[in-house]
Amino acid sequence: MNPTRAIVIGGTSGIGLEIVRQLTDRGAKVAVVGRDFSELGEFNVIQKLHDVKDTDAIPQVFLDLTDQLGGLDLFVYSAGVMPLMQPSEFDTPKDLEIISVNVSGAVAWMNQAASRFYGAQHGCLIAIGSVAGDRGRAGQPVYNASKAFVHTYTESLRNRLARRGVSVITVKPGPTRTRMTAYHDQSKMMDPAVAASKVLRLIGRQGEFYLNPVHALVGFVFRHIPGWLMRRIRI
Amino acid sequence: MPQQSQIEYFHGFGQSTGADAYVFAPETPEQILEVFELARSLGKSVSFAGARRSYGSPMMTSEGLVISLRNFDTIGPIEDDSVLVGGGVTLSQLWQAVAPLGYWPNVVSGTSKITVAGAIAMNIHGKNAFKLGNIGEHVSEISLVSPAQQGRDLDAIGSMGLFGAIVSARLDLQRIESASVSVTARAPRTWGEHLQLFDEFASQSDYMVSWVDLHHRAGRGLFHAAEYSNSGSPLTARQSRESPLFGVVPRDQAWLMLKALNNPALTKGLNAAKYLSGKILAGNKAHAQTLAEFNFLLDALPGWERAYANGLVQFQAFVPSERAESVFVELQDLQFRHRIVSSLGVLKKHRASPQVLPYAVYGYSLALDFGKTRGLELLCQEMAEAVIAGGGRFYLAKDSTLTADQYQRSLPDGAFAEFRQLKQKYDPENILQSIQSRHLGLT
Repeated sequence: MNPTRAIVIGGTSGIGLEIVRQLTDRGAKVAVVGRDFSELGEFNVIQKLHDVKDTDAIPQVFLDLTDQLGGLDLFVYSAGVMPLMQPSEFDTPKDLEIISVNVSGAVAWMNQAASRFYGAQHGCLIAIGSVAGDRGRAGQPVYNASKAFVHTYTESLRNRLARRGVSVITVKPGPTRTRMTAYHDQSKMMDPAVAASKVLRLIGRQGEFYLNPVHALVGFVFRHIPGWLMRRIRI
Repeated sequence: MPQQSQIEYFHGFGQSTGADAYVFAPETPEQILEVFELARSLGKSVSFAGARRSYGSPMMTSEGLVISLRNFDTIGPIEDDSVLVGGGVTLSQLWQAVAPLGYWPNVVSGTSKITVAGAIAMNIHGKNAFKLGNIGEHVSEISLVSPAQQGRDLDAIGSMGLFGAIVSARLDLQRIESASVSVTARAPRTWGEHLQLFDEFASQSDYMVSWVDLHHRAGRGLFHAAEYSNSGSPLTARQSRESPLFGVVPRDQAWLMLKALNNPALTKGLNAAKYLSGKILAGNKAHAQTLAEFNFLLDALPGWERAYANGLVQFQAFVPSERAESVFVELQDLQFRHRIVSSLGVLKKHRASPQVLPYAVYGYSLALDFGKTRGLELLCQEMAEAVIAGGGRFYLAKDSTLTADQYQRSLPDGAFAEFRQLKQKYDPENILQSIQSRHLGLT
């Protein structure tokens, strides 16, 4: 399937920005939703300044964008935050910020896309999860949980929508060289352009996908590490 | 978008164009007006979808609002050989209601799946077009709900749904003695022989149709003429073939078989086999068929349109008698030149029928089925030019390839201006639009 009309939430940076770039290169009509368009540059896309935390505005924004695009074939939810977190830090405002972007925003936006695709009986919905959602690790409790939410939530959507001919894809990237990971060593991380092209190759399929075969293997082992061991190892 | 709507994917019968739109199924004229109002407030356009059997896109407007009249589904009592029916009633429901009472609709199309509102908006014709014209001539009353006004109006005949919702209409019926027609078959060898047979049988027949083998240079085919029988099948609502094909293939699955057989070489062979078997069987003796079987050939194998992998395009040309043969031969030449030859050709005889945006002429129509393929669009454009040069016209229920310029050149002088005037009267804000109407420059 070659999507001709796409909405990318969080398409102004990181993997989302690369997805926008590659879709545009393929000749797709793209609407980009984000908070800061400074990185986007000179792109022939529909730009919509919007904060996903403003969930009340989403139905109207969605309607406007689908009108401007003249339909919708692909919806990508790529907005996400992962603030720097100390091992001893328990900061409710910071945690709720993660939940509102990674969880509430995701639900509010994907409900719009899912409801449309359900009726139209065609389309592809992609959500960016993370290898971090596979287990609850010590470092990022709420970030990990938010991505686990995305995985389970989109699995449910998949089970609802697959029978309507709609493709629902959960992507689990590993560490990627983006602004989100800027305060870590990025030398061994995946390039966002590579991640984006791997994501776009999944269009039309169903299921959860790692972007790197090593991640798939590690992820499998990781998901089966017993709790007593998780408490003792440093990962 | 309000709760009562749901987005749906629409495609024409040919399955080659599609769009998503918000569907509404109002239950009263007031609710139709509410949808118009909603469209106004959202700056969207509205189109009407009946049974979605038009080949192209007159029933949809991308991201717009689409009204289905399926809730306007009543069939009134028969009075003075006519019946008041809701716009959402299908011809199938209609004939099944009136046939047991000894009546048959004056004009029906090749499929019975279409709605009454759709039939009137498109001003459909049948195999008796040479005698009774289009359906609009047999409609004595229309209840129209337009953005600008509501009332009884016959202007909606042939209006493509661009003037308003045809919520009900009074249709003339004819009395029938039996549900049978007596069918005479002939096997013309050339285009000329086809047209001669139409002229020869016109005075004594109620229906006439001819199948043409486009792969055969001279245009051989099979001609069928039918007249109502005084005796034959009883007047019942069950007149169609439901038995499995060849005793084993369920009729609603047969398209899978057709799809497997659908390639140019086989089509050529099948056409030849059809001609030869028809020729042998034709003889001089008339055979009996039920009205439903004879009229609704397109319903015999449900889903047949899906046998074309990339969708189906139909090109139907209406050409005045004196130019018909030369234009049809030219259309065939163009197909050979482009190496895209129609898999199925159907000829009918027509007479002019009054309507806005007229398409019928005193002459003949040739309907050509094509599987959508590379180069087909260009072929259709060239064929359209040949038709226009021959003084011919086009039927929008079948169209999916004309350009705005071609369509407007094909219309008789003043027809386009008259359409614009009426559009201004019923829908001055241009709320009612379809992908097709925009493409053809109508709205």
